[in-house]
Amino acid sequence: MFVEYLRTEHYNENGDLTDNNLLPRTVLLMHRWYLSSTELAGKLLSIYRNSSGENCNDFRLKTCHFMRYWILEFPAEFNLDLGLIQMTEEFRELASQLGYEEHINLIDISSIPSYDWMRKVTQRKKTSKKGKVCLLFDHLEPVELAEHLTFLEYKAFRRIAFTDYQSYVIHGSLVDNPTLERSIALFNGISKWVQLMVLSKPTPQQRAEVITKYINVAEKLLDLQNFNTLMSVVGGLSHSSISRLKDTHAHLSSDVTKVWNEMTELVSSNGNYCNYRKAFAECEGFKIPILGVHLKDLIAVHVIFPDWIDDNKVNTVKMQQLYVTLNELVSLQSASHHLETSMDLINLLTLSLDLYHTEDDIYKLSLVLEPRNPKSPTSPTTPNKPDVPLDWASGVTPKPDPTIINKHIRKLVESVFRNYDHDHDGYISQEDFESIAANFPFLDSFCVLDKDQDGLISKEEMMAYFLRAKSQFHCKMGPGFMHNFQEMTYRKPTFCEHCAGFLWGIIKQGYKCKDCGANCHKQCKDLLVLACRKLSRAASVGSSHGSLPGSPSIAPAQDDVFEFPPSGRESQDLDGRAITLVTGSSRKISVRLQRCTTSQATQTDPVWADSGWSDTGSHTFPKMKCKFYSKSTKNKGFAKWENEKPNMHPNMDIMEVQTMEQLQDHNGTETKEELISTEDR
Amino acid sequence: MAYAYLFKYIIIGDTGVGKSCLLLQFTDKRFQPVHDLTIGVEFGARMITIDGKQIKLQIWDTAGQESFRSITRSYYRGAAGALLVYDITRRDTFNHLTTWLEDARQHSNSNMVIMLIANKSDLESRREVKKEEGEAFAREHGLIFMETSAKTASNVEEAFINTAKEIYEKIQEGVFDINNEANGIKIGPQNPMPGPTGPHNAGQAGGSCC
Repeated sequence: MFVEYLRTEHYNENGDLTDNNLLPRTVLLMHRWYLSSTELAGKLLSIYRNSSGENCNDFRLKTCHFMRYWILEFPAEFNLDLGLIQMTEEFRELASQLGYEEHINLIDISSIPSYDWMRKVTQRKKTSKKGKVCLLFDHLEPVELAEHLTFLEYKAFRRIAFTDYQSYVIHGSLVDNPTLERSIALFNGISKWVQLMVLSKPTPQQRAEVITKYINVAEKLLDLQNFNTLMSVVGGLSHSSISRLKDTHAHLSSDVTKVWNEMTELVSSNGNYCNYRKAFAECEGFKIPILGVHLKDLIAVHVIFPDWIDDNKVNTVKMQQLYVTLNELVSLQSASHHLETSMDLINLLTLSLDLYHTEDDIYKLSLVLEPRNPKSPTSPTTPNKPDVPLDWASGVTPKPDPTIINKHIRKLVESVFRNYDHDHDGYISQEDFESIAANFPFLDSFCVLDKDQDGLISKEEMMAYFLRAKSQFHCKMGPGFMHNFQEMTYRKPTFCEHCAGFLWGIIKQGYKCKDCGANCHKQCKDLLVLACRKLSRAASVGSSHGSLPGSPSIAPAQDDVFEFPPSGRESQDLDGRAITLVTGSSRKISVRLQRCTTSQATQTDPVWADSGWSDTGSHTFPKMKCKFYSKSTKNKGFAKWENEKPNMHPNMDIMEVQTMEQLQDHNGTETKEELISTEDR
Repeated sequence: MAYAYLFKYIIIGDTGVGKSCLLLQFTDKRFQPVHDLTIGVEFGARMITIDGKQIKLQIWDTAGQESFRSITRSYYRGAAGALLVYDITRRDTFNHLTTWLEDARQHSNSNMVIMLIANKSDLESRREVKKEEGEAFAREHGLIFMETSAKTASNVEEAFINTAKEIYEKIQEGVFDINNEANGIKIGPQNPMPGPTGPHNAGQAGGSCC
């Protein structure tokens, strides 16, 4: 039994807790692998109660010392574990009954600070640096980015409790493990964000600049000893979607390439990550490990050794080996950092990392920017790529609760106004707004931003912009919405599932999904927020695990839901409903409500501007399209961009082009003129 | 110990499909214990004999890292073979094969030999994925297929050795560029002399790896 082992250790310990013996700490950290803290305290209590004989006093004192040591080393347990707290109280009562005043003081837990933050997935604001910050990606210094990413990383890392590691190692899954899942989501989110920011630039030169910036960020991350984020940044940059861009890499300076090679070498898996392990061991003080590497060690130890050896004895070799890694991870969580962070920038990054695009989309975007050379034999495409949504191992793709996204949006908007509303009149200029929106490349918004067309953007307008664009932040547009549309001639009167309007005409009135039978206008088919029935099963499997960050047991801290202006309230509700769809619980949604949200602008503008939706939009895609784009509907955003490219101003940023395009889509030439006049001013 | 070739493998697949157990079974529980964090746990090397030649297999396990996408991807580079594992008692692990395969094909060298492993064949009563389905998937994607049980050791040797044979054949055919280590193949420190020394028994543990 575990306690037998514990008792031997306890005797060996000689009552002197100041020596260098690591056994008590090992036992106290690792006991939860075998039994709960309450059980352990219960055993100690009964040892204390039942001891007798001449060494009785001495032995009771030792037991109390052991408790004392436990309290000092792991105070959080005595703050969070109700059973343990209760047991400690019983202990004190017993000591008082037996008349040991000294013992009562030894096991006092009343002065332990609160560890409430451990329970919460979201965290309260830290003290933020005063003053204004720049919120434009292009103008942010690598060191600023590195520090703020480290802040986010550490915030996620320090919440992962012993039991979270234990559960992951034993069950091999992230179900009911929100803290670890969040940390992994952040890791993957950073990799994707890095790729998207590189791919958001239209020219190889500009992309090389972004890559250079991230390599500089990686250097700063190394300075900060944040290896986990370093790994995710390097991972993003070495993803094939980026590494295959030969033209872009040709623009990197040799110095940068040299640093880059050092970085990849450092975190390479060669020799079981020997370079990283060496570097990590040499670092002192605040540092963040590559979690994946250490989890791998834990799993290996767990698979190799049994927990118990014959006669029900604890396998001390295993306990010792698990301890080495777990102790390292748990100890680092209490290290303190001196990061100067601006909450406004944190808000910006948080929302940036929420951006949802599948790896598949990112790779296709890369192919559009620098098409494959048909002559050179590169890595082969997967033969007959199946029409299965990219539903990665469950629980990996973060799908936060919509209320969390809402909160992130609200925080960002407040940050933007704090920094850009110079005269505090509640408005920012259209230019400022567009620069901010440029931090979120490929946001495919449906809305007209400046509704009252006064050239100024109010908080409400900006909020509405992001809330509507929210579809691109995880929630819908997941794989579940990919339909297999085909042009259709209807013989009976048929209505559009998206806008509820009649499908007019004699032939080819609309589009029908071959898989689920949904009917749509041509212009509505890409906006349909209705899960494809054939795929909905797969989607629900994935999302049943994705309960995460918003898991019901954990109330999001300080979360007052944004009050949407009356006209927009419906749309917010609807967003909620659209999300239910993805989670697979209910499939059908109200078509009428749908219309209010997504095509508000078109109601005043009955004829859809041709630029986005006409034949040029979907059929004159370059030849390679047929080759690489089996699911063309999904790539609407990219296809549009591709076609607009020739009209682009040479110096214009791709995202500005997108914004303009979106405005055109919805308001026709009117907005275009307005945009030009804005430029003239 | 001298070897003619060194092949690098990776084991991929969803969490909990038994990747580590397969490897552990194959390497016969030899491993380096963790003495400190700078070495980590490694138990992925073993010698086998093919065609009278000593071949060292060095195997990278990705267990515990499945969700860290950029970490798993970093293994693909420099691997000559991959064991793609699913669990016959969990259909979702079978459904995710396409994604794994796509990821592997996109990030590995084009000649990487991929073997599809249907693990936990000892749990027949809880089977959710038919053997025929696995075979069909393998046929469709040009993979070798095998059902194994890491628990009873059934087919485990064969899975690793068949993959090695396939790689070996590709070398003989000249498909692999064996001078480029990025392909996951390394020529041994001395020229292979299978005649005089005679082949050692399969199952000898290798020394430390590169």
